[in-house]
Amino acid sequence: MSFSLKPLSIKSKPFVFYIPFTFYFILFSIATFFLWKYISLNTAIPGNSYTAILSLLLKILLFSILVFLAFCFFTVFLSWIIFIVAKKRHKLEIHFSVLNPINDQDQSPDIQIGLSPIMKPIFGFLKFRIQYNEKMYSAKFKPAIESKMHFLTGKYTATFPWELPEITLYEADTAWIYFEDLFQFFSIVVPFPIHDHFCNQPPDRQIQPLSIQPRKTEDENERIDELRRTEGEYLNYKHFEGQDDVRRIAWPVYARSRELVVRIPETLDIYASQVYIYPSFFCGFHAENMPSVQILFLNYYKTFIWNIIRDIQLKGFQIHLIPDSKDQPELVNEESQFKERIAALEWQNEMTPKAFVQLNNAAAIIISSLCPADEIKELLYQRNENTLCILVKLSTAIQKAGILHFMSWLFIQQEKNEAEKYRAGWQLSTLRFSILENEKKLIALFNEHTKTIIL
Amino acid sequence: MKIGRIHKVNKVIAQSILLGLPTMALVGWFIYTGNNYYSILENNFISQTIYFSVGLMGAFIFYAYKFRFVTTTIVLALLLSSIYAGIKNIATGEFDAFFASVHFLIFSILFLIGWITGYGFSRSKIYTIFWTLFLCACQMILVSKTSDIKATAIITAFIPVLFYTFYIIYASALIRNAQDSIHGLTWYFSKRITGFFSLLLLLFIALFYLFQPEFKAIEKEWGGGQSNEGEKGGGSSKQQSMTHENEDGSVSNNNSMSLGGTLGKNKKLVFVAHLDNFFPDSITPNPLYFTSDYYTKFDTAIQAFEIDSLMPDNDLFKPNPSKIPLYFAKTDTSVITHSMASLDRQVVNAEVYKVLLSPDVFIAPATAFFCQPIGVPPEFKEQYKSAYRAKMWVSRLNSAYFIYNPAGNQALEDFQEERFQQLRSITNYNHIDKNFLSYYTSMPSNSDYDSIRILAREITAHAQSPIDKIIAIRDYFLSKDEFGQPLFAYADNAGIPGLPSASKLNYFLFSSHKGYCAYYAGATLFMLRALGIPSRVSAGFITINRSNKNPGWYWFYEDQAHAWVQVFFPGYGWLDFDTTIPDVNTIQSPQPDGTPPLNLQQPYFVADGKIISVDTLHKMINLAVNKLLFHDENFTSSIPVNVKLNIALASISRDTGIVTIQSLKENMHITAASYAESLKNILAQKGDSMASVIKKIIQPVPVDEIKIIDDVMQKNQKQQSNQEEKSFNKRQLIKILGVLALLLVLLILFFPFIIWFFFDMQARTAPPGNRKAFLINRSLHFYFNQFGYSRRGMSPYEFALSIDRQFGTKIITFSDLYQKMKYSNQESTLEENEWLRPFYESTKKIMKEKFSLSKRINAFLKLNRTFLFFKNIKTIHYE
Repeated sequence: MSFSLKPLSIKSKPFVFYIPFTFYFILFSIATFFLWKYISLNTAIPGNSYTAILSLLLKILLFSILVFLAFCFFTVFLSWIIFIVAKKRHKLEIHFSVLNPINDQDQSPDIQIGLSPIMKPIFGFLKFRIQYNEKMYSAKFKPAIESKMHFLTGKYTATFPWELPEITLYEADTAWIYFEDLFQFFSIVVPFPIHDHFCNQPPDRQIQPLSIQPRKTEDENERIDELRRTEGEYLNYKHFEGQDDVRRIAWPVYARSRELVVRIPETLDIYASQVYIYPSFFCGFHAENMPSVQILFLNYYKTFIWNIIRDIQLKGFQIHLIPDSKDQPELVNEESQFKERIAALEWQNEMTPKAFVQLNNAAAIIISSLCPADEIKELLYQRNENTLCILVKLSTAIQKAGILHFMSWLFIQQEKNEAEKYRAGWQLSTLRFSILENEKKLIALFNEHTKTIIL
Repeated sequence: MKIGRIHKVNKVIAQSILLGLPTMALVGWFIYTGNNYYSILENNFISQTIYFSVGLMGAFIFYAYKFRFVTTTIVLALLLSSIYAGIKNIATGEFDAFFASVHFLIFSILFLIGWITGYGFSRSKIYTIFWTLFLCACQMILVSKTSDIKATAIITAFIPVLFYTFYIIYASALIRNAQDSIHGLTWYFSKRITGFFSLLLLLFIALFYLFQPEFKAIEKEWGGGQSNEGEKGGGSSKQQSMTHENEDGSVSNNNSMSLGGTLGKNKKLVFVAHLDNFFPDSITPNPLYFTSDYYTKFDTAIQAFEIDSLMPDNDLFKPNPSKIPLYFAKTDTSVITHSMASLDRQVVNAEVYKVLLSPDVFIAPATAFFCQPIGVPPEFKEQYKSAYRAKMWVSRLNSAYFIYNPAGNQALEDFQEERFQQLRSITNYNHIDKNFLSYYTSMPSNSDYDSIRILAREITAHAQSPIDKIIAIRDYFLSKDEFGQPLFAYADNAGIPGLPSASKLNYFLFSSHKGYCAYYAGATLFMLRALGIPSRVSAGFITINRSNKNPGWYWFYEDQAHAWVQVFFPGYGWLDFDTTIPDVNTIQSPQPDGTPPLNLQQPYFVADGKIISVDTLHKMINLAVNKLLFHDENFTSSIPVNVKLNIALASISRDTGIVTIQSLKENMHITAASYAESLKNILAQKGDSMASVIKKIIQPVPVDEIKIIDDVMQKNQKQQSNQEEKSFNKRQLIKILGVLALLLVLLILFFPFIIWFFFDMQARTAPPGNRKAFLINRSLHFYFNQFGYSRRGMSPYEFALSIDRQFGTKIITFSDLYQKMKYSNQESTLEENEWLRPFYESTKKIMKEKFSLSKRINAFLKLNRTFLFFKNIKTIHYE
């Protein structure tokens, strides 16, 4: 299984943003200059109709270009002025939010921006760029998926897809608002502060079924309002019949199994099974300066961890996620927070798996290829027979490039994702051999034991 | 291996419509114009535009996927090259290979340009800029070269490309910046493009209003000034032409040549000729101008040169080839006498193959005296309508090479100098006929021509002999002004003097110094006549030797129609002298295309007579022969002799081209020719008559070629019926178009009825089951929609509830049932099917009772609701 990850952000110096014209305009100017030069050569010999007509046509063309350029600049300038005046008078309202993907597919989050008052340049474009994590800048967003411009109130709301590079927490600092004309020759930018935190969550993926059994039992005295299906039972539901109220149809069940069923009155169901998950982010290599490890492998690992948890959740167990980070407490059973918590985790080289895993209650231990095999050896021997050990092979994040890959690279543009971008860096890295060796050892170790899975 | 997409389907469609279609239209126009200039393109501008369009659209679709440009285009180019190389090897003959390979090369070039342009629009920001400005530059140059210098013509030619330049930059920016997932992409593009068009329109109106005075100034200066519609002989802005198009589409030289403002030129092929006239080395062809008429009179009132049929010593041979039976000849040796040429002359043969040249026209180098219509080889009959052989009494001192051409070519310079030297022996015209001299040196007595006389004397002050005076006039036209620029220039547009009655020649000689052949010929003529040198204007076609591949073969295009001066030298006769400054466009016309029609066969048997009977079944005719040409021997008979001819393999033609056997009618005058081998050894003996010769021949005689000779009345009738056919066809076409338009309007008007009829029929006739429920659901939704009850925004339950409350129907029950059938894996029960059956009809009945007939009809005339229904149909399916 390979993962398709998002492109990196650009790190540009802000002063470049303030240049009021685009590279497109420069190109156009050069081309027009060459045209003028060429036509002028053709009009060198006076005294004939050809020269006279050609000179006039050239004049008209240049005049038209000037008129259009003036119009373009005027539209952009006007929009900019209106915005600046509103900003100065503190009448500007900006609303910024990040919408997480609605479905479980690999979708980037959407940015929703609302601005008022603002006037889009006539036939032009409004674009945005977000400065986040202090020094990082997103790519310029194309005009929105959905946008509404209310002419009278000047209220603009729009939704943009944002391809975020890392599965981590983000802090959006500034929105850079671009006013661009219809030809995209002129671009005037205005920065506007926004302060928002959001998280790029790990996406859902299909993984192989895991057999994880709870190892801890707890009594709970709370009524569980949300019904869950337990394995092997068909409690609480019945098939939809003609006389049933359609409002009682359980759509989540339908979404999963395409069975049209209705709920019958709830009954209490007390859970007594707790699943303790110990994902280890221990990195036994000095890979601080390896982007492929810090970003690509980390994203890959987090995605797997999340999907393992999701798989357990579907079985209906209560999950305790025990991170190996000191400043991250244990997290119990909150789906949305699991994603954010996982997203916040980083590689660390302080707490080994042995040091943080409680073998008496561990239902599953997740380790990566960066964890030295020696650290795991003892753990594998000491753990309980019901504790599942999962190895996530990080090298699979970058698939090997064979002849077919080369041939396809020759004719087909590759996905602009980190997997391709960091392939060269990974191939040339000095640590690559050691990490792959370690991975092989881990695989051999896992194969020697039962209750292990290699993903 | 999955190939990712860069653009989704809707974006590709947007590119094709918004970028592709305008580009195809503009490039199509460029190709059309290119076809007018380059005959190698063979007027196939439609297929050539298609080649470009296929490349363009193909690239849109191909590069919507993540294919790399460089590698894929290299592979494509290699593929095309290998096919090109293959064609050259596979094609059977040399000329076939050339033909096929040229066609494929044109296809490849246009396809690749379209391909690259498609890629540029699809993926490259940079390409759009350069492409639009490049096209703009090309169009500016093309428009500036126009000979139709009118403000409206120039503006009309320039506006589209100016519009296109800005539009494409905007449209490509719009498409590039549109998200693939944008909802309502059509509306998004439509409103923006419409708005932009309006803006462009406003700006251009303002722009051209602002620049209108400058356009008018150009039109005035170069386009002929004020319009002189009342003036005889043509107004200032009228185009003149050396040729005219006849009703049958053929081309003939004009009977007069007026000095107009602008010379109109065309690049159509008129005829092809073979001339066996060579320089003394017998290898280098020596082309001669082809003469059709002599203009010996000048009408000062209309300022036009005219033919004078009463000119003394008329040496113009003008037979009508269409009236001469095939392979029979007409000779007039009196013209040789009248040419008064005996020194350095020879008989030269020429074959002329007509493409557009009128069948009645005879054209050949001076001095022609023989005309024999000949057959056209079968493989060329489509291109060449008819042909004839001519014989001329030609001077060895004559040549089509311009009087200036020898510069740089030593052999030709030597030839020129040699002829000048020889002609220097003529120093005066004292010994020629006074009437002749008086006629050919006459000049108008108008005071306008005094200045021409003075100029002539000034120019030739240091010249002694007539030839030196001619050279002096030539040198005057070639001279440079004080700035070192040529004093005279060639121009299709000579301009018009401000006062209508002023002499155009004076204006040419003393003011504008630019004009076309008529001006140079006219000016030279009057200058020579002013000096007492007998001269006349000759009209015909200029011969240009462009092809080294077929020496002796010459291609004549319409723009080669020309006028030049002939000067009489005692003993040498009339010699050509062309003082027109070369028109680069005419000389640099494309290389002639195709294979020369080599006619190798000579017929053994040629019979001329009238058809007695035609047997179309057995393909036989009986001919009453009046004249017979047998093995080149002529036989005639006062009493026609009947001959049976086998025409099964005969190619039948008339002046207009090939016709079918059905065209042969009784009493028709035809000429039949046979190349049959069986006739080869049958020879006529001395003393044989036509009847005895025919007796020797085994009948039916196998005939290879039949030429129908139309008489004048037949021709007129035919032309009339052609015209009627044309107008009939036009009327028919208009009728058909009108009917189609009406049907289309009715279709649009009754579209909702048609849809309802279709939906209803499907719902009624479907077998019981889930599908029937779906069809009933769709049908009812459509029905309610037409009455204004759309489900938009409501859940199925809410919608059903609202309908039931309104009309007292049972849509809720149906809706529940339908949801179950749609989403559940369970099969419908018997009871459910039973309930469903009468439900549909009863619901329709309820609706009919609620709405009167007129309201129902009115509801189904609302097209907008029908369109909205299909627009929202997605919503209905995703309930």
